[in-house]
Amino acid sequence: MKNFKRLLYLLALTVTICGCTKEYDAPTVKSVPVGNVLTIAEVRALHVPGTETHITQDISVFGVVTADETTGNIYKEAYIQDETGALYLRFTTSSGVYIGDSIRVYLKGTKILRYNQMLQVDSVHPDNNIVKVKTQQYRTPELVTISALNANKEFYQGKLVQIDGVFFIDAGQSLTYADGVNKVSISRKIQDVSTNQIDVRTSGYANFANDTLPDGGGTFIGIAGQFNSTMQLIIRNPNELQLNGEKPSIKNFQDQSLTSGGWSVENVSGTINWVTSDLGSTGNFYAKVDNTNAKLVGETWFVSPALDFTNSNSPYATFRSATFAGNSALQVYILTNYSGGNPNSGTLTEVFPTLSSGSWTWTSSGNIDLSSYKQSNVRIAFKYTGYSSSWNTWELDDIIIIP
Amino acid sequence: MRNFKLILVAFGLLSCIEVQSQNDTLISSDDTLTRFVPQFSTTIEQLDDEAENQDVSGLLQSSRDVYTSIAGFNFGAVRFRIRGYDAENFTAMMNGVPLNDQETGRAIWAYWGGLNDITRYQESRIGITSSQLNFGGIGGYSNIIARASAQRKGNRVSYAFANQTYDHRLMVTTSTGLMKNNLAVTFSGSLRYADEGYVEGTFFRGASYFLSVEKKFNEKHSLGFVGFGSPTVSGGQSISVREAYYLTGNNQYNSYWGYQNGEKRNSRVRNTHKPMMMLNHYFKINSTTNLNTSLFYTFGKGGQTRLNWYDAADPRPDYYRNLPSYYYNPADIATYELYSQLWQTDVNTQQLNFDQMYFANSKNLHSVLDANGIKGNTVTGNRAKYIIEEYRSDVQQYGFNTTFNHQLNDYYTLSGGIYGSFYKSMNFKVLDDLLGADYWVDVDRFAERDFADESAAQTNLEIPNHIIKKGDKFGYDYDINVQNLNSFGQIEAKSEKIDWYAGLNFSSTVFWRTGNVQNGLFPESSKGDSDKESFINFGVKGGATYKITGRHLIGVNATYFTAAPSSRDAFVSPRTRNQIVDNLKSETTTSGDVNYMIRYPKFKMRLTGFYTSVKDKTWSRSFFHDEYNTYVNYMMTGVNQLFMGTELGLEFNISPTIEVSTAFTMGNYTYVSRPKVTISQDNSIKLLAENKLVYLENYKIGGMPETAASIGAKYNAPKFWFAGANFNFFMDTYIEINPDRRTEEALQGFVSTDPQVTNLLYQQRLDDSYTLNIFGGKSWKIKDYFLRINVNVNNILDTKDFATGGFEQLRYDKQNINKFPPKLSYMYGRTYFAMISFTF
Repeated sequence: MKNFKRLLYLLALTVTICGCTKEYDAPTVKSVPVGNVLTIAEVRALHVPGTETHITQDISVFGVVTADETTGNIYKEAYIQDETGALYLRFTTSSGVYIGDSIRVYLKGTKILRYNQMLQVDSVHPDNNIVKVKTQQYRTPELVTISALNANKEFYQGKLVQIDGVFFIDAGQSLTYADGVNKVSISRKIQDVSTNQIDVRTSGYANFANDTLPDGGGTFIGIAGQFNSTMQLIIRNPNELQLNGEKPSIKNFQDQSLTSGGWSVENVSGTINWVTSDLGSTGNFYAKVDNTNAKLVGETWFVSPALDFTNSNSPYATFRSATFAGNSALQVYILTNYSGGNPNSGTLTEVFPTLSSGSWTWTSSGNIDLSSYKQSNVRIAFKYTGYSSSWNTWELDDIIIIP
Repeated sequence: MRNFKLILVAFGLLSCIEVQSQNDTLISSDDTLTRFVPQFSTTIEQLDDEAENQDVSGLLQSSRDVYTSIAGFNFGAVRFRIRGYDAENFTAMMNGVPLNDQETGRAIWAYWGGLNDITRYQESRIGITSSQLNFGGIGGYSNIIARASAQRKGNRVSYAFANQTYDHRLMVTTSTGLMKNNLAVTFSGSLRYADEGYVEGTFFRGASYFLSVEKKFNEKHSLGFVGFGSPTVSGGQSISVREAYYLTGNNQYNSYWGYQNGEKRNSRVRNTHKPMMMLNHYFKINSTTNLNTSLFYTFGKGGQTRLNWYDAADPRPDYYRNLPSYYYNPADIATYELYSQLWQTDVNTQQLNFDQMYFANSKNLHSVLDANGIKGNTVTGNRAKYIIEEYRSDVQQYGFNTTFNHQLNDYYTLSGGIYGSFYKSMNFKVLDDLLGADYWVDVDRFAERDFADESAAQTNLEIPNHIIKKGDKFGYDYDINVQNLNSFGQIEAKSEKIDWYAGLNFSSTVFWRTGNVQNGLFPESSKGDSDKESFINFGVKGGATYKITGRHLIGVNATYFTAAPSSRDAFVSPRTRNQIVDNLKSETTTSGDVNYMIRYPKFKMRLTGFYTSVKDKTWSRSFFHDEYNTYVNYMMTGVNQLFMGTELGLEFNISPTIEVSTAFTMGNYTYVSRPKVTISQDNSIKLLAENKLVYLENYKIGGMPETAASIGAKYNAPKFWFAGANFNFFMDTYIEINPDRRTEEALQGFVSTDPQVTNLLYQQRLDDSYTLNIFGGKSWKIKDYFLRINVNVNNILDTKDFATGGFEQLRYDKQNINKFPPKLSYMYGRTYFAMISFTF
């Protein structure tokens, strides 16, 4: 009986010890070799044209992630960039790298190839080939133009770029970025003020695929890609597009109309006229205010439509001007608080762009910075003052407004 | 008295065990006085990852009925179910208090696993029967008699050695009997242990304790206390596809484990401890009237771990994309061969690779902005790609049970009772192991991908971007409340020629969900109480036995009742919201049986025919849908089932030493309606299909053999030893079907001659199987002590290629049905259980 009691104690004790979870030792974690460190440009150069180049050596490349899978627009892919260029990485599974991650890619076991001319590093294993070094190393997009992209495709492949003054040409028709219902990718074009166009390619799996295209002009930020001979853009996140502002516009008078597009002539005093003409540049029309014969005294304005820069990033305007000899008959103003009629009824702030100094030399104004006018109802107003003492004629053309 | 103190000390110690518990139950083992057969058996539910499983073999084995006990001992290996019934049709009780789980309706044997010295004293009856304890169901009932004064006085120590779920078991039981001070005390405790069970990668660590104290105040009043629990931690076994079994050459292939630091680790650890306490008042009002009242309280934890991952590949080796067949392409056979070879030779391909998960977690530097919802709070560290999380289902239940019986006269006995219970389960996830990482972020990766709105992915809007560390709650958090009131009344009559009984039942069930977090997907319907669903149900039953002679009897039983749907089936997606399945209603059961019994001293027989119809069942499942690339909720209502068949049990004593017994059953268990299904996206309230017709009619319910036979012989030697063998045969096992494959939508685009049509509609029948089991034992009497040895060997022929059950995956590709082939489980090979016990 005594033994039995001991047994009971023993049992109680063992139960306390036994009825618990198994514990495991954490394994020693292997490390990813470094090997030879190359720049992205050097890695791109490893590719032997026309082949799948298998990397069998210990090579690492460092870069900052500029696009990730968060929105679903790219899948099992990422883009990295350093000072020498950008790389398009294709993973075996979901990558788990995020924009701003500074990563090291250990290239052994991957292959470099071109797919429809786009250079890619394929078969990247997110665990075996990737080491994250730092986070939140966000890269500023490179400011480019559509024509610059097309002029230097290889250079821009995979780079994070920003293009100002663009808009979706199909916007305003309730079209979406892609077909999120049937999961079909779609290309939509954006256009800049010079009517250069480029495709924006969006996956049907992107979580914004069914969002309506923004109807407005402004800044596009995305990744530059290449598809055969054409360049295309890939959105990282639609939130970073600022395409809700004024669309870029150009008043080039080719329609021989002064008032098309909402422009107006306001004659405050006198009878000085604005006309369109192609005198001296046949086929290329411009606007002209002509006081040659009469030397009329008066004040007349050429006023833009109301512009809305509320959502603009860095709006500006440019135009070209020409005159016979330097004079101050033409002045340029930013007009606000205006509701029509005499421009002097609004708030006028004179700006001083470069004007033609004579000899009928077409002179570019340079950028008229409008960034202090991020508001609605902003106009550009050209004021012409006629004096009895002189017969100054001014010509204006290509009034470009980049919101 | 000193003994008693000792026992109290022991009990106190035991109850200090860190309370650990579980969600699903374990394969439990059981033995009885003279014979033992381990249960490998589980219902199909255990195989299905999410569901709770249960086993009724423990109930069957103690039955005195020939057929039932043979079935309990010998049919367990093939997931046999008596009359095809699901476990919720059997009532398990202790001292008359029903123990069935309030959510699933099932009695979960593992909660009192390892207490075989106590649980063997059961009163069991199968089928529609009279019962003085409650109304019961169509399956029958079993009442464990845990009253201390009813335990046999003495001590017992036993040690068992086996090669199944556990390898070693030590059990100690002591009962004082009713002592001079009118106190009776019983204590039992056990330890069960396997470093690795029969199935590779499994393990078992279980402890059990039981204390029953009874004080007899006078001839009328006794008061008893019973407390028991069974903290158990064990590693699980998967159910896989044929390809995995084929590649490994192992029909017990287990995808749940993998190496960590050279040590086998199981990703599915069940951790249960749901102790129960009750106070029983036994009131003998007079010689013909008893009133027994119990108050009970259950609480504890239930946990089931599993892997989760974020921004990472599915690590499960038998996930279809990780199997060689996924790479099968006649044009590029090399990839397929490479994967096949890896699967056959590389253990880290064949199994989980924990080292690789640690590696992935070790360098996933990540910054979480506005962490824990605090603006500007940036947390940088290694974000976990892989974790082990624990699905918890903790319970708290209290209630009362009172039964009354009164013997009116020599002929009539009246009985009745009321049971009331307040039940709450607390369901949430806890981070169990970060596998070397620094943190996990509590966002829903599916919602994150599907919705541009970042708040949609937040599982808890009140703490967005919640940083989760080991031990933190996350994912979801809700309670299920069930209130149940159940009353019955019964009259029994006995006479020389006819015995009969009739019973009546009324019950009320109310259940609702309480969400404890506001989910980003369902901000309006995730937190707070759901509608309260309430059901009033009733039932009638009756039966009569006509004694042609004392040796030949004919009996009939019949019942009709309605039952509230299980709360498990009632919510569309309880993890995220309060939404309740449309058209939820009570199910209706109509059942009857006819029995012919022969009772000679040397020959006993029972022949039964049964018929059961269950109407308006609700069937809800959630699963990952490949087409929608998200979880869907699949809710079928109006599921009708029919169970028909016969049972035959025979026992024949050829000589005083030789006994031959046989059992045979043949049944037909089918669906008999075309249910309607509503499919919703788990992520949104969007309905993917509504009231879609499912052509389920005439399909087999499946998952168990419909035909089973056993013949056995036992030799009882005069010199206190015995030996015997049983040969068992099983056929007509169909696998459980995926209802969605039997819809017009699934067949759309095919013409009747297309092979896809046959592939979609065909219900696979498993091959016939058989087992040969042997057993033997001997006992010695040494002074007043008894020493006994029992040995059982099951499947002595060691056949390992009998599939015992399976189910079609709910995920399917209608063009290529083999992409998601059925999951199958196989019978264990040879197993043994040897026990030595010492009684003094």
